[in-house]
Amino acid sequence: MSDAGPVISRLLSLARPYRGWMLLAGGIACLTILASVALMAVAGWFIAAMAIAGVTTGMMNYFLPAAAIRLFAILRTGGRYFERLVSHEATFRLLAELRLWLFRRLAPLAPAGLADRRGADLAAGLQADVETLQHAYLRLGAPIVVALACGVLVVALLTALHPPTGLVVGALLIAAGGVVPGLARRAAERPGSEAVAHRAALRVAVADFLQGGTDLRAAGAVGRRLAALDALGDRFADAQRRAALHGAFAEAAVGLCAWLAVWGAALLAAGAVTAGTLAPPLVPALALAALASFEAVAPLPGAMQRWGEVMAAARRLFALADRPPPIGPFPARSPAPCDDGLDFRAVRLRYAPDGAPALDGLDLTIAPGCHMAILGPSGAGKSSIARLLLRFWDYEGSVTLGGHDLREYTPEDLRRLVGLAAQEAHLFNATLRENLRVAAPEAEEEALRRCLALAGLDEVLGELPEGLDTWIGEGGARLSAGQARRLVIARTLLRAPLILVLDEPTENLDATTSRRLLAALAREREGRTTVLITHDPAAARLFAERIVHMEAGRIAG
Amino acid sequence: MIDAETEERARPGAEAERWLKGRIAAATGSALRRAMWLGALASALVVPQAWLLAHAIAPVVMEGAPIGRALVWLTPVLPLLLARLALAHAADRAALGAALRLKGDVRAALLRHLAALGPARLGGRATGDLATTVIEGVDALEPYVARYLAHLGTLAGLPLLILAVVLSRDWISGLVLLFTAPVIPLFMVLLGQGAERLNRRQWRRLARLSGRLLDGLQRLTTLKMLNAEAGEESRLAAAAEAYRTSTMAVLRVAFLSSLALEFFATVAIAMVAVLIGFRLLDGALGFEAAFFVLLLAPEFYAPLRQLGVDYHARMEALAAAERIAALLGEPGDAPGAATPELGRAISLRCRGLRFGWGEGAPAVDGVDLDLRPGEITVLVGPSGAGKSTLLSLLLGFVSPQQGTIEVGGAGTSVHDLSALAPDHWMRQVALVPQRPHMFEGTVADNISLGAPADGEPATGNPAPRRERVRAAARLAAADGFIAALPQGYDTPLGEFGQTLSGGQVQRLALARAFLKQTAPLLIMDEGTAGLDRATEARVTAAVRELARGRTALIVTHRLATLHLADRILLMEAGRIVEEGTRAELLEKGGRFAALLGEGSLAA
Repeated sequence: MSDAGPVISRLLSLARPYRGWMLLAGGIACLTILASVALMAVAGWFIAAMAIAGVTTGMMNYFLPAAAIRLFAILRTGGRYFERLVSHEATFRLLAELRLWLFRRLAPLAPAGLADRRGADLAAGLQADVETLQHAYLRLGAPIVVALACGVLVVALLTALHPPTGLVVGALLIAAGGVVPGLARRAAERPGSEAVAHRAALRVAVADFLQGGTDLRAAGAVGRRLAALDALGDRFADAQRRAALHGAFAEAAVGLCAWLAVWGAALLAAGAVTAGTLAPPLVPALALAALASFEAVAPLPGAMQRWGEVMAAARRLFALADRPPPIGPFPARSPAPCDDGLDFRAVRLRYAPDGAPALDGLDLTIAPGCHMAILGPSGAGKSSIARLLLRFWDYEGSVTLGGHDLREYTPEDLRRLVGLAAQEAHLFNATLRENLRVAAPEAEEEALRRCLALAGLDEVLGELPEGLDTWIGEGGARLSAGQARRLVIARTLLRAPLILVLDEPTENLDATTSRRLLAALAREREGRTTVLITHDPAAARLFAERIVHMEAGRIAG
Repeated sequence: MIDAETEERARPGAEAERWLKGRIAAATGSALRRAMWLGALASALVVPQAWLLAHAIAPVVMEGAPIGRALVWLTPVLPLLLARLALAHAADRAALGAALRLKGDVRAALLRHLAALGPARLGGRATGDLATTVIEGVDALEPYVARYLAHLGTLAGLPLLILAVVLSRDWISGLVLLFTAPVIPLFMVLLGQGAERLNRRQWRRLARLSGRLLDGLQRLTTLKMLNAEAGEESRLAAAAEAYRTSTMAVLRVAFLSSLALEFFATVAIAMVAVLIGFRLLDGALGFEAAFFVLLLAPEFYAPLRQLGVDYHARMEALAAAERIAALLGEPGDAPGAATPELGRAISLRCRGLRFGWGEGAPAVDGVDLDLRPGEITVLVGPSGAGKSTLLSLLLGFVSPQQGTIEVGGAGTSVHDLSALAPDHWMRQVALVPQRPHMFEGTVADNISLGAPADGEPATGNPAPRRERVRAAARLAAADGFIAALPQGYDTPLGEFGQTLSGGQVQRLALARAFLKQTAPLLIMDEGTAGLDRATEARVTAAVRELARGRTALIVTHRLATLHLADRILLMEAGRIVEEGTRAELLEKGGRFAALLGEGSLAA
């Protein structure tokens, strides 16, 4: 893989704040494995030396080796426990950081920079990718580094005792830690990245299936969807199975290498004893040390199995995070608006470079304090005006707010000045109170109730047994559509913006409720610029001092 | 919360494990047993291996025997190693195959159960939570089968085999093994239980965190509108931090059980080595037997250590299984099975319908309602009056808690709605829901949801699918805006149809309904909302055409739609309070007349 280098170095730089934790974990891991090798080597040597002493002199100083055996046993036991704690600590810290890093990278992109990705797909894919990346450190990076360090140390030790054994064990360690996992990795790379892609697709499909349940039932398409989901699930599970099978085979092959090393060590050491170049007690010592040394490379097949998955996930995350912000540059400071008037001159806006323009030469002046209604059929570009005011999409032409070009404001200030009760605004899967507080975290209870009352929700609130603490479900599903619209309006009012934009506020409302809502809003917004976007002439007549008609992206009269 | 948890069953997870084992037995057949046997056989080969090695080395070490004598014993080790590799691979293949079948089985069961629960019951659930259960939850079952259960064969066989062999060669070492072995599982169970309880809380937190991230990203645009990204950032950070601390609390305990295991295994090996050493010095034991025992001692504990590793996977699997079993155990309505021919003239007769979603006043509170063939009934009422719940009842998404819904079909036949098969009933209904969902796929795909799949007998219109989609779009007054999209009918739809306006989404939903040409019942929930007046007029005309000869119920807030009505029902606070033609109701001068009178929105 040609681009593995840069991906790895970026992963490493993300992990830099936690390198202390990681070094500590690696150090303890090495110590544990070395203690394990030493335990078996000393034990082997000890029994052989005791056996020889038993048939010859009958004398031997066994205190030191017996104590060493106990010491290594304790080191190995405690080391493993602390290594696991420390490495997991490091991983979870990193994971938390990773999530935030992503959120910070993605926030400037929405919505224009993410329009080609579905929200569910995006979030679910990211979720899966972030979780996959946690393996990059805990189960990929750390085992490789530890295996390298321990492998070198053990081979050096064995070589010092008996060079041929050291060489053979070294070669087999390389085979078990490098060649076998490398081959397994290559074999598992395709199923691994397939599995990640299938999982993301499955998530989107499941989310679609759950959220579109009504439509699927009505269309008689539930059975077909289920069959498609089954097939997708099976493909996903099969890719996982194929990847896992390669990994399992590699694990077994590492076991084979370990016993080959024992076999080779026994043969070579026995030969050296025959030749008189090696002390006999070292034969079992070398054989057992060779066996124990494979503990260092045992996790590598599993680690390399994740290589493809981790690299694919990292590449996807970086590609998304590296998208240039679609809009900008923004100034560092905003001018103070002279008033709350708006002026549009020859404004054009396209959602896609090759798409039809949504706004096509819009000229419109909204005087300060004016209650203006923009009336027109759906698709005429009414909502685009609202999105443009928040600078969610870039435009051609000029727009001024309070006498200054829109581009002179920082995005934060712009969104403070312009309150948009958007059609596509989402409600959060939380309580009523939390949904309102998103807009104004410091808002008093009184303010919350006042805004709900303005939006005509006071009666509804009165009927809820848990009041403001009522959980409203995903996307406000526990509310009726009309209640949800009004909650969005209440949330916008709570922020007390300079300019209020209401996008189809009366949709899904009955006549009485609509009338009451518009009247309340008209009173509340007295003297402030308010833009009502609607396709309903009656609502426009009821609310606005001035009505303009829009058609095909411009003012028709 | 804590109290509720301590009051739970004495052995948490036991029920989930029983459930899981039942599933496994049904789904995986003999593959799992094969995996156990093959695995046990592969691991048992370590005994002859060690025996051969000990025989090879002993004469060299003790007598300085020539290398040739060692080679005689060393050579047969190589084919043994290869046989072990082959057996292990076969065992893995069988185990992973069994896991694959289990996952497919459980995932399919979950999705079918979710479908059976229906959209109305799932309405308030976080999609992210449910999707996590279906995907990651099911995945977590794999290690239980492919590792934990598959390794149980080795766990049951190998230590016994080694113990027997060691006892016969050196009974003192055998006793050390015999007495340390039971201590290990005991400790693991004691510590594991604490960890298990923590672990299940952990799973809930993970699901909530996942929901948090899903929520956060899906709603990024809204957060930006509210200048609330920073707040969301700190909420995310707090959630992740809570996740870290609670997970580490679990792991500190969970790792303790493997610490205990590791400790006893290591100390026992050290004891064996030291005890053997002393008897070797005394000449009470031969080196060959001693080395054989020392080679086998770690292998005695290896399956137990493996169990320690797998135990974690097992707990995760059981936590997932518990959630899955709970979801599968959620009662829906028992679906009917009858599929009578209902003909083209359906009538509905509801008496005393009552349904509530939870505490508080029922959403539908004693509704009597008749829908007659060929008649367009329009249902109006303030938001929150219970109109959507009433439609859910008529669609069969939920069953009434009191009262009956009778379907009058061909001739004089009458059927209780709850006795009809849900699929069969839905085939009778052309539906325009209140919030149509736009699926991943093209505009054409999104319309043709309802078209019979290729190969199925096309009902009525024999035109190719694409042509039928276009025809339906034309009828729904959607053809014009679709043609203006960058790729026309092949335009992919973004999140929730992000590039489409509310009115455009509504018209695609209308097109879906128009595709169901033979459905005798039309149910629309504000199907004309969000349309401009010119389009609304066209759509209204088309709906009139669509409703001709059908039984139609249309919920609306738009008084324009009232012109279609043969009969108008006014619903308030869960009841039908007025009923009649427009003229009758106006004449009566009741609530409807008041609504219309003050309704400056009337078109």
